[in-house]
Amino acid sequence: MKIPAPRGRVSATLIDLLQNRGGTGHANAYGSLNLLVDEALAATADLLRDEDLQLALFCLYELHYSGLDGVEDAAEWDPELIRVRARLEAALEDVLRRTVPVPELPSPESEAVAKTLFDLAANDDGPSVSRFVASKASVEQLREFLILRSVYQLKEADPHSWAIPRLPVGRAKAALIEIQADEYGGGRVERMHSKLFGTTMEGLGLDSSYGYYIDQVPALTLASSNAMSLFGLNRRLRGAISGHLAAFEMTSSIPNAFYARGFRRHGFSDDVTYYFDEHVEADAVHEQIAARDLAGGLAEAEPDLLADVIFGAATVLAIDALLGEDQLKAWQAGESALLAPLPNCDGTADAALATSAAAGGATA
Amino acid sequence: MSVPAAGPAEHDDAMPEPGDVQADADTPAWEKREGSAPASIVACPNGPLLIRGDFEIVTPDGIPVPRDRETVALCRCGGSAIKPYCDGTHKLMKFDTTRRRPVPEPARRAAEEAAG
Ligand code: FES
Repeated sequence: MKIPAPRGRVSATLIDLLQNRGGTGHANAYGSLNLLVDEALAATADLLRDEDLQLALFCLYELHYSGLDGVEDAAEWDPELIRVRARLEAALEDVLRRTVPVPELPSPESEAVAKTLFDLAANDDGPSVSRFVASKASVEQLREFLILRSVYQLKEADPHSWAIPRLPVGRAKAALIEIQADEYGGGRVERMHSKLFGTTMEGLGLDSSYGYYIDQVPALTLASSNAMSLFGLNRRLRGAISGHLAAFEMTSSIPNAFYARGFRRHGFSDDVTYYFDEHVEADAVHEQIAARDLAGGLAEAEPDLLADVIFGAATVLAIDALLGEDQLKAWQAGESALLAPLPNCDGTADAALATSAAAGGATA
Repeated sequence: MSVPAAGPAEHDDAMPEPGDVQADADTPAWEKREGSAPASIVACPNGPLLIRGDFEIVTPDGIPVPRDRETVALCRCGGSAIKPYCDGTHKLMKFDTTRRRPVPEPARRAAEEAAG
């Protein structure tokens, strides 16, 4: 991914350090980075919406995914950087543990766990971005919607794949593999979900390279991605990442039908809406497997993880509610939900169709 | 409704999979595997029928219904907009698989008599 623009002293120092690893005086640089992180953590009023800290953590996690342009691959396991990451993720976990509302724990049996998760998802009354997209969003807002989602969707399924080697041999692992195989296209590149999302972005004249819009994306969206990486990259949190995936799947098929409607309303072709159409069908399958076999199966195999399974699921709903709130507030006020509005888009369907036709993305 | 024939190219796998029994480019990978497990159906409480293994979904005339994945969920609440597949609508309908309609008296008597 390209190197993002810094958003404060922590991210500036980190990015500078990443680009100059091994350079002279970098031992001092680690020292001052640690100090800055401590200061910033002590000073932040809202870690989930802290631009500087969420970007710093996102960059550190990115070293485990596609890497950062110009940064050595070996930086991934630099003990000093791992130390910084651990500080930031401890703070993130602490905030989530303190603020995410968690329902009463069921018994650690598959069906009871599934019922708790389905109830949790059904009782979710967070602000509905999907309804807004279906009935009101302008083409400009559809673009913003895609850009915000692209942070995760262009690496869709990756954060949950960390859990594969961490689950015990048995029902939960088999379930996770079954879901992930489908996410990655069942062996067919052209059906890989991250790839389909790229096609949708291109259909609206957007660039689909991973991280292209990172500088436009607010902290909370980065925090949502960081929470997944936190759960996925720490073996002790394998319960949370499993619950996270379950809740993700369980809150997906119906919203995706709404998203598809919003894009069709503006005349976008089936090629553009295919990503959403596919998720309606796929996630109706996945949610059954994820609730009973993954989340429920893991709770049965390792009852000590039950609380984290539910916590991971509740985290999805809590962060989604915050994200929805911020997005709808901006859109309803006629403002951009991005850090800065996109340049050079006149916001009409015709213009979008013209751009996407030029990009070879639409046939309409 | 939206099972998209116009989606990305469906069957252009150039590489045969290990275990292919026939080199039929139009046959999806899961239908070609030798010795795939017999179909099994999970009746999901308050939800769809989840089907895995070796099975086919066809129209009454025997024409295969487009199918994009190995494991599918078939709608049994009647509310899906992408039948035969489930689209999650059962949750909005509060579909309840534990509810049984009481069998009317004459029908029950007839059934009992028939059973001897
Ligand atoms: S069973 Fe899911 S929509 Fe009917």
